Amino acid sequence: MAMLVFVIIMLASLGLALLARRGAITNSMDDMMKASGSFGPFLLFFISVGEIYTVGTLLGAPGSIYSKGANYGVWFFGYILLAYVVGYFLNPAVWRMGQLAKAVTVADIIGWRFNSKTLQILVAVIGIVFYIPSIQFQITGMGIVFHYLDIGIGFESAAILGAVVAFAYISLAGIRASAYVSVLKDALLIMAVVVIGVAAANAMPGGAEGIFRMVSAKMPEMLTVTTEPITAGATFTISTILFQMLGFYLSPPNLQATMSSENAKNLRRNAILMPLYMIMFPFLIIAAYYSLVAIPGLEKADYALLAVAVKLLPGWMVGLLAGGAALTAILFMAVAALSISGLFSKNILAIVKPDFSENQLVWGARVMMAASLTLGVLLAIYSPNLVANLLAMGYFGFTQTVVAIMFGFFWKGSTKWGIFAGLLAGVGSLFLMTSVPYGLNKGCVALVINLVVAIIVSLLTKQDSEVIKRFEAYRTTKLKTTLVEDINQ
Amino acid sequence: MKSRILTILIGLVVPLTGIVVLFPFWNRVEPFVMGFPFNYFWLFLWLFITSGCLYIAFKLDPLNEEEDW
Repeated sequence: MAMLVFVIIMLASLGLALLARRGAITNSMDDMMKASGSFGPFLLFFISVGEIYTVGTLLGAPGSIYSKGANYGVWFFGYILLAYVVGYFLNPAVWRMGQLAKAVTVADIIGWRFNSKTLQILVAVIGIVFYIPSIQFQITGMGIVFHYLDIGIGFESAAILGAVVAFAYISLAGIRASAYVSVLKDALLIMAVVVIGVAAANAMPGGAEGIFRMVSAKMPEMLTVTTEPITAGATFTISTILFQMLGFYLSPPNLQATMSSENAKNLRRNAILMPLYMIMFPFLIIAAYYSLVAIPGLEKADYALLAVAVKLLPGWMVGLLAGGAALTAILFMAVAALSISGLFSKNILAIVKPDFSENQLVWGARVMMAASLTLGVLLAIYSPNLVANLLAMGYFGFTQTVVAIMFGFFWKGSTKWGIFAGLLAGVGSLFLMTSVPYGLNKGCVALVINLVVAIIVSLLTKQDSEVIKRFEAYRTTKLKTTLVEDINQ
Repeated sequence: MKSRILTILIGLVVPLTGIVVLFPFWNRVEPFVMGFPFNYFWLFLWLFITSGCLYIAFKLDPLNEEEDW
């Protein structure tokens, strides 16, 4: 039964992707990567939330609460909420700079602003390398769902199926397909999560409060954030929240979502709604704590949410959950692969082979997409344990670009050498750091190093006039008309 | 009434204060409010407050008028 529901969902999603094809321009990088900037508020909202409710959220959040309690629950919630706040200000600015740079990817933007092809390539490489683990993470997550729910699909088949479907979405209609399918996926997820949360509350005498009271009685440390200076304590929580809220909208897929917007105002409007979408989290948290008291001794913490579902829900609902979870993973993989392929094609291939036509670039992107999806599948099947550390590293890695972006917006004195040196220092320190002072978040420390190096080197180097012109252009142009004249001088 | 500084104050500083600065204050389990331990309740509350803040910031934001696009 669950299997049938699951198959129906997958077919429906492909139908939606086909629908998205109307209005898509198939051989344009711009259209594939950001739908030519045509997303109105509705599609913008759905493509944005696609990056938040991933399999990581579904499994990882309850799972981590199951093993680490509020230390995880609090920072997870806190950083995402604050990321929206940062996004309100950051996204319109990134979008505007993107328009000026006629950019399709983040490397386009940074490369344009600092007038450096080398920087462009470095940013692209960072984006690609640090983001591939996330593809594998989604596949692994999907595998966990199928394994536990036991609906009749083996892990390898699920992985391959997922990668193929992800590739299909993008081939059909680029990022548009993802936005359309996201509507279906979110409907399913909201339904599933709310039902699980309500079921968990009902299953415990005293409801939600009953669950928390019981946790408080049996394992109170799961409800608080420890304040001693140990790794998962308060300094870590706060520094992680601050670090992650900056990096959130700078992940390659989130950037693509930002750039797909029609205008800056919609991005601000979007920011208002995003916190409200988090209304799902209370239900997730209730279910997570329920699993702590009602289903102790799970083989893997990641099973927490699924265990609650299987225990409390009818078979067909479990199928819905499986379908929603699969779509979530596939969608994320699709946009992740898309952004990686864009970075590769536009910011590395196009530089190395400047005579390539638009058509050839799009094909280059497709090849890269297939390659990164395949790599993700192989990693998931043959070395899944590599993931957890890689993932955190990944986030630490591409968040280093926040220095480039911030200086790009605010500091006339920043030079391409400074940014370049800062990036290398930040990323390098990630690999070399073996211990962290005061239990701070590693990425945060790397960011500080990045910042300091960027400032010092920028102060020591000269910049070319083009870069200054571009900075001025960004600061002064709010009106489209002025923009066209200014840049074309 | 439009002011970018106010926009930043309400849209950025207020939520940051509520969640990061006040952390030592809300990092507790008691009292339970609406069935939730205080820390989680605080966060859920700020989910709505933040949305409200961003809405007000949006209304106060001069950039929404100035931009042609």
